Amino acid sequence: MKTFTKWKDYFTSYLFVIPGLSLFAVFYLLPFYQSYRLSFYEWSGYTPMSQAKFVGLSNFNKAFEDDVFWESVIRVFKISIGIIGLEIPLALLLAILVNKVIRAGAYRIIYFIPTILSPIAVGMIWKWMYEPKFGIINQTLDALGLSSLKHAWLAESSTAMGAVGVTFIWETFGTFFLLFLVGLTGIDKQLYEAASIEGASSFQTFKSVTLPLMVPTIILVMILLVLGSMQIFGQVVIMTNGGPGYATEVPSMRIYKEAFENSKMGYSTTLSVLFGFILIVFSVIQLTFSRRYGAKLYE
Amino acid sequence: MSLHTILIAVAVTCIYPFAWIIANTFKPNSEILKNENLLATLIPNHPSWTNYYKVIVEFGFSRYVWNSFFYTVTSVSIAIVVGISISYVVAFYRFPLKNLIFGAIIVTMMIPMPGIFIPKYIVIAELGLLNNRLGLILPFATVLIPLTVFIVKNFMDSIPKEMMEAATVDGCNKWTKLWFIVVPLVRPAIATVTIFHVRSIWNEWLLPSLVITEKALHPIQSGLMRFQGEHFIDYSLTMTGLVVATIPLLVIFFILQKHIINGITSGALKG
Repeated sequence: MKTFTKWKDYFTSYLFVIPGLSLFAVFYLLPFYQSYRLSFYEWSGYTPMSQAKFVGLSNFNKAFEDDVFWESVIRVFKISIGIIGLEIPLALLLAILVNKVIRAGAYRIIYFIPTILSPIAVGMIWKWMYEPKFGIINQTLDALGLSSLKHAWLAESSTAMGAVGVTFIWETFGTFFLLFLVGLTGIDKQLYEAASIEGASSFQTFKSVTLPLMVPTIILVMILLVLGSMQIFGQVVIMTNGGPGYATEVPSMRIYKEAFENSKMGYSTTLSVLFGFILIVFSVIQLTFSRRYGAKLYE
Repeated sequence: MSLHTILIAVAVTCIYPFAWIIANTFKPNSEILKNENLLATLIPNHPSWTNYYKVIVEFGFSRYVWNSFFYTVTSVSIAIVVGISISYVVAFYRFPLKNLIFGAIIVTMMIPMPGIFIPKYIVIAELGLLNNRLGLILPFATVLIPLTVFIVKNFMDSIPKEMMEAATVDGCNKWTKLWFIVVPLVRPAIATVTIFHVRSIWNEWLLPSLVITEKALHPIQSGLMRFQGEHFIDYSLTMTGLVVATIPLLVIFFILQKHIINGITSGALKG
């Protein structure tokens, strides 16, 4: 009798998780299974999937020799480093400044506005801002008397990827600014008082009080930024579609184009397995690293 | 003084693009292309609502906004209901495989988008759900479940166990305890999660652009992308489309900005 009530209790508990688990099975597990399976197949996507041709490891062999793909991985890696190098100091600086002024509520709202836009909207806005003729970037340079610095930003291969990176920074810095602000408000005020009694300059205070105490937050922001920026896609689709040439081709774009422009569904899933694996390795490394330095990704 | 100079300069870069685009929606295309200085361009010569009329009525943006509204409300509701149910039994009951189920759900938050969007599209196609509203609503809801469970379960953990025991003594069963005791208590967590879910579904563009090709079913982001891709380049109309696509979210943001910013600053949500 007792075991019966126990199992009845288990059974009603399962009723609560079954709807969610079924959705997971169909839209996470099944795609997962399909992507591993299809990465060994050749399939155009136009015929029924049962007619896909098994090709063994040849997709993977091809992928390892696919320079365009690996260049796109390196490209996104570089731009990710650039974004982190600019965005973390920027967000931290703004947070420190806002933390110093009184009545800073408006800044918190204004800096957050770009983060609520879709990547599509942000891509469009910046595409127009970079527009060589009426775009406001070149107009600002004119107004500042710096006309020699004007570029056709998105049409020149030397500036295009950087221009997309700046767009990404504009869109996302608000969130990280807020996270830094939270970290700063958690620092004990007495530490600053002690520093000022000892006659520390504001740079010394930053170096020996603020920065060490902000390390956990900085690591957290870094993790979020690495993963976010390496998945950059929507802005690229709108602003350059990978061009000029391959100048802004990112891995997500390769995966997309192989599937829908070259009709190679099998090969496209091979690339997504590879790039997905790279990203997961990154996040595992970072999680281990962050645990060591006390960053709490999940509280 | 100099502090504020830097802060205001950054604020201007956040706001100026909007002001510029909103000003342009009241101009004809030819006026946008004329090279004016940065401030003069903010004032249209002959402001008119023509672009809004064209975009909303002739180009079907009212339809896209309605579709987005529908997709958002349905998928977020499903995710919240399903997510709360899972969180509830995981937080308060013991059953075999509980930790495995919970762990698996949380781990899916780590699956990167580039690794999964093509196979997901293939599964939706195999299910015959291309150009079907369910082909968006169900995958959307699924994506939202992990974050819901993560936040709501954490919040439920802070409910005192004695309260649940007292409810059992008073004759509550599993269902009535959930609806009459737990849900009212976790309302703040639900509110925060909902706001972030609404933002991510309203802004979602990739899956719709693959799954929905029929114009009548497009959500707003697809409408916007399609608009840009069409054969003519009319900046004033495209910019108007962008404003129409963004205004609903901005309005929600300004009404609820306290909750949104608190959501991030309380450490519950990381962007």
